[in-house]
Amino acid sequence: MSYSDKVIDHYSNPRNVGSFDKKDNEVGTGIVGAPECGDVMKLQLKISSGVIEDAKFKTFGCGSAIASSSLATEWVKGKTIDEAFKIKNTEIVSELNLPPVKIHCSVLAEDAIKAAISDYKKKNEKE
Amino acid sequence: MNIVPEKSGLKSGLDEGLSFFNKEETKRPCWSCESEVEDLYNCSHCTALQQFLKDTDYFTLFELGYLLTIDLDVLEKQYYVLSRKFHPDYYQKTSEEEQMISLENTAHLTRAYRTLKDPKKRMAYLIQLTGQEGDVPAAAPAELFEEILEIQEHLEALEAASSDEQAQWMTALEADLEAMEGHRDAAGEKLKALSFEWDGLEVFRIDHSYSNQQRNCLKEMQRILSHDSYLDRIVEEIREALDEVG
Repeated sequence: MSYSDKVIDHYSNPRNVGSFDKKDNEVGTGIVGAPECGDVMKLQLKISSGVIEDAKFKTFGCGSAIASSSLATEWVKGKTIDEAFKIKNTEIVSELNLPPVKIHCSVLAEDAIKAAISDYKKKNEKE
Repeated sequence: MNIVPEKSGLKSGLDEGLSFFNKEETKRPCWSCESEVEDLYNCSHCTALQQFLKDTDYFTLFELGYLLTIDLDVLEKQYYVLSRKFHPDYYQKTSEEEQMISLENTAHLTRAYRTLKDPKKRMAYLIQLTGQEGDVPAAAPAELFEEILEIQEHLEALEAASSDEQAQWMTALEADLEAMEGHRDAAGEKLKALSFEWDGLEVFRIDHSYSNQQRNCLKEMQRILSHDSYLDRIVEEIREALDEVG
């Protein structure tokens, strides 16, 4: 099995690696893992008036997991929370041409986006 | 049959009649002579080898109760006894049906043995068997994830380090390795304690339903087991990185 060009591109040149301050109220953090392979993904969104202004990620995992999270951070930027929430793992699969054994990597990225948005909402509903 | 070390004083759930399978449920017609079969393995009428019931679980197959403490010597002996019973070599001259059953039973037996032999696989199997799987959303061990991502940075730093900086990152990673192995040992200890707790409760189970205490025990096992793959993976990665440099 070989990686697609797009996976290799994201893997060797990942976009938006890094992190924001978790305590910042404008930041939503999603941290998820895939128990079947031990991959861990952290995705953070910086949100202002319902729009995702910036996104960062850190991933411990294979090339496909890194590429999936890198792509996810690119896609969510500029989207509203609701739009980002609708991103489906299947879109990541087709964009990156992931083989069936790597579909769980895209699921992880989708879960991370959703977890980050829920974290942001939870933080901001109290006030 | 005694399945646990005698000193523990535990008896097999099956001996106590607590099995999920009672004789009623194992009754089925023999594929060969059509008389009623009660035995798990052979027809008492025509002695033809019987296919396992589709859902004969691994514990029942080995005539064990649903206990997590298993005497591995006894398990191994029983594995050999059953292997001899089903071994395809003995069925070379029999009908095709019986040969097929012998093959299938042997494959099923091997899977069962491999699962029960490994304490963690045995536990995961019990959780699955009791229908606990999926009940609990595998709660994300967020703290562990943070630690893993931090170690990931150390791994990257080591890879990018000049020869002067290498020693510093190796020291950091050695400390990481120790911490992760510490987590793993602690998890192992907790699982052991939970196994004993489960067995203690299971021996006194009086009907087909589990007590809340038993359910909680399974949930806690599942939670700890769910951390396992992450710990294994990160420990392996650190070891590889250190080996490469060292």
